[in-house]
Amino acid sequence: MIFLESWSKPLLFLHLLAAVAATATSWHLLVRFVIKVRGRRGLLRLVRLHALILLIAYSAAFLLGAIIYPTFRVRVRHEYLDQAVPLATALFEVKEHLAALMLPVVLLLFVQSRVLHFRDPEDRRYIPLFFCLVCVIAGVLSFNAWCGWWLSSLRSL
Amino acid sequence: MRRADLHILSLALAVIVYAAVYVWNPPGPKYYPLLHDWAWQGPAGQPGMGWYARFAYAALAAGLAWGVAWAVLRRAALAERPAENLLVWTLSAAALGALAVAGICVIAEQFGN
Repeated sequence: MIFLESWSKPLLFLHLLAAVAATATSWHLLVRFVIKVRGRRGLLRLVRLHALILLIAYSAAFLLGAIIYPTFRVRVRHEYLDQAVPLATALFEVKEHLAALMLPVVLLLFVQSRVLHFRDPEDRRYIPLFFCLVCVIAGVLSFNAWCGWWLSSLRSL
Repeated sequence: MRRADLHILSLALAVIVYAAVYVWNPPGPKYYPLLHDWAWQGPAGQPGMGWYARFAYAALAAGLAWGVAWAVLRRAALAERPAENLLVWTLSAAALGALAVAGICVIAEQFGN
């Protein structure tokens, strides 16, 4: 028996919920941020709220993914994907590495949303960084969501 | 340097270090799920997982970098002057560049095998 193998299905479901929440929130954050910096009806508190939700949802998805990874590594990757669909193994690894690379980025976005007001000229210098980071996060999360769906369609836990 | 600059720039530096160490991927122990054991070199044919150590190394290095950057920049933060534009733009570009390079490296690592 692998670590938490008997719990892998409910944990995978929670991983899915957290990932969907993180992906949706990243796009919401992008829209809210653009509205805010263009000086329209955007409210700073909504940018901050979405950055907080993104941090919580992303951290939960990351942690749950790390917990169910041993079961996936043996039951799906080792027993099936490595022999039958090596491309899927490579895509899964890319998904996991990109997810790991984005973890400090989510933290940086959250901190920026807390300390910046975006109206102060000094704060506006950080707008390109914030915008690019949100775009990167939204892109990576969308790719990972597609990748997770495709891998599950091949063989799931 | 303002407190906001201190928070963002020290974390941006931590992101750069994190991405660099993650791509470097120093040798570390692997987890062998069928054996419930950690080992630097496991038995042949056993599926091993090196990702946990890789992530832990990167996170530790980033934490250290953040701590050092915080301590160094904190003195400047006491002056409450805005950070130099050059520092802001350089660190912003370097953080984004490090992420882009790291992303390309991990993709090449998988599809190059």
